[in-house]
Amino acid sequence: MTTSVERPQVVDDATTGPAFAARERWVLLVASAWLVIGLQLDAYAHATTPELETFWTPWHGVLYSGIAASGFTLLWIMKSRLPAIPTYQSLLALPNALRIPLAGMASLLVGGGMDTLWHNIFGIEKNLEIFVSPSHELIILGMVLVAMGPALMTATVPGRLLSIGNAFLVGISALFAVLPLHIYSLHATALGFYHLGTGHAEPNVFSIDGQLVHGYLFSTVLLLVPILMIGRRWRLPIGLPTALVSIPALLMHLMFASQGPWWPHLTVAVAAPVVELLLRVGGTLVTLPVTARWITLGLVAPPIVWGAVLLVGKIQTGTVGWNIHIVSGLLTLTALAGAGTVLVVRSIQRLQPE
Amino acid sequence: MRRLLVLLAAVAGILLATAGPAAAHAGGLVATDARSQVVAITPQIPGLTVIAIEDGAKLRLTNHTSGPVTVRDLDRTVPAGGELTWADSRFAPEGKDLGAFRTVNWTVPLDAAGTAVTVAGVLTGEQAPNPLPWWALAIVSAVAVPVIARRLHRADLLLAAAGAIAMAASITHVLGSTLAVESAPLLGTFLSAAGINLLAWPLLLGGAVVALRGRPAGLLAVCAGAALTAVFVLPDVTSFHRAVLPFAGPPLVERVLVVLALGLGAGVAVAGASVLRRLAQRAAVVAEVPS
Repeated sequence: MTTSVERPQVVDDATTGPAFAARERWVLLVASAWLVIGLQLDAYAHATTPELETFWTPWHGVLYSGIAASGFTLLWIMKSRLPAIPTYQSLLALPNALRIPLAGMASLLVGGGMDTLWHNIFGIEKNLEIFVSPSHELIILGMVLVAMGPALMTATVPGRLLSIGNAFLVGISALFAVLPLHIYSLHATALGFYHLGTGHAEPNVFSIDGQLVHGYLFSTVLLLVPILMIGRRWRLPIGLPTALVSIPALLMHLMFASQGPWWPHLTVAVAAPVVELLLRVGGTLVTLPVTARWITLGLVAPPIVWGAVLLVGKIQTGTVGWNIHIVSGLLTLTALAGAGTVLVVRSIQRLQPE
Repeated sequence: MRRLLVLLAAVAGILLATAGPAAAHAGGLVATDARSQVVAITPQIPGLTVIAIEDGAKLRLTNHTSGPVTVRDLDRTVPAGGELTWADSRFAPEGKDLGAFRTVNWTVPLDAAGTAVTVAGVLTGEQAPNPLPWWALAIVSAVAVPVIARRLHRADLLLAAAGAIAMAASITHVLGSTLAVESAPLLGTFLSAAGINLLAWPLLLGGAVVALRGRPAGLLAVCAGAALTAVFVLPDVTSFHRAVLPFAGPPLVERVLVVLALGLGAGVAVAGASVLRRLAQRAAVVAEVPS
């Protein structure tokens, strides 16, 4: 297996099927946005109204109709790409850009059926159980794969440059693909309820402090991956990395921390464009090989963004809640996690026939 | 096909307008191994009635006395002429594993205009069925469809028919589950109980109609609808294992309906692979023959 990252291979499905029309991509984007917004509304409603499970809610209406809208859209896109007598093989032979969201829809539906069976046998999950329920995992996976569809379809269009319209489409698609993961990783995120240490003089290994360290690491990976994946395929449009960091941060605040202070999520949202500007200006001043540029992003961006959160936290509350060991170690760890994420994502190659 | 898409779009609209939370079952009822009932109200107060509904999942208090009645544990007061329906883990059968024919007594204290009233009831365990024959029937149904389909020239007709039976079983199952619910509006309960079946049924019906009109592409819709039917009846396999079912009819009928929806649904989905492939091969042969 090759691991060269100097020239990442461009995935081009254009040879495996007809190109996707702009209308198809935008309609799927709207449908998948509908689906994920339904999840966000539902998450917000459950976070603010614990007894909601007993009521019919418009949030569930949006969520379930979003599933239907996404399903119909995929059927519509698929219809013209199947032979007169479609077989299961012809479904499997569809291009990846369509096959992946279709697999997502299957995962979503199977997960939905499993979820009800799970509730019948074991009862309804609450709190941490929600995040480790197998049926919920299938549902979230399905949403992610469906929401990736428009970006994958756009990737079949040749060329390294994104038009403004396609940049919006890819950005929104990536955003809606990663948002369910941010929501579903609420138990290990730096974009949730906790941002600063507990203030214990000797924090325990297994503790809120320990959990928050992992939250910073996981959020680092989750915020970087969509930027890196888009950057592998296209030249990154100005502002897109900022949007892929700032918007999830602000939405996570609205969904789960709207009763709390704004400064943690707002700091992330403000630090993101500053980091993007720094790296773009730095890129014009210092000429580096492409891989080195990306590794620099991974090394520099996370500690700056999270360091800003800790700094503003200290200004706002008077303490970071951690001593120098943890603060310095945490920021170093986020830098290493960032660089590692860059190396892994940019080293992924297309599968070769065995 | 356009009509089918319009029908599906209408279904999506209904889902948007009415979708409810993913409850365990219609009305939040689940299959259990016990029933709960009220046996006495002490002292008896004229105009005050308390009954167990939905096999004891909930109690319904009707206050036709001249004063208010308070359910102490809930801290809820029912005014004169009012009614209250509620569930309580002490009297509800859900999650209770008593053993067959064993009983557990329960009481609910009330206050009727200053008079202490006790509602006494009993939870009675029931004999759970042997699930193996039901699972065997479901598996046999699922295997029979592809096996028979391999031997038929017009296997498409078999799949359309089996899909239609699965759909009919699924609709009857949903209707029975809806009618078992006394504490929620009928239409809303039906839509909630139907869930994704509101998409599966049009796929099965529309696909069968299109296929029977000589367009084999409809068969793919039948297979997709059948797969959805099987997946979304899966939660109700608890009826094979439990005695008291949230179904307005004999438990035997409910189990047969689940067997048909699950077995035939899965069978059609599996058989679809080879049937569609053969249809495509035949069409290719016909296309190659010079006219």
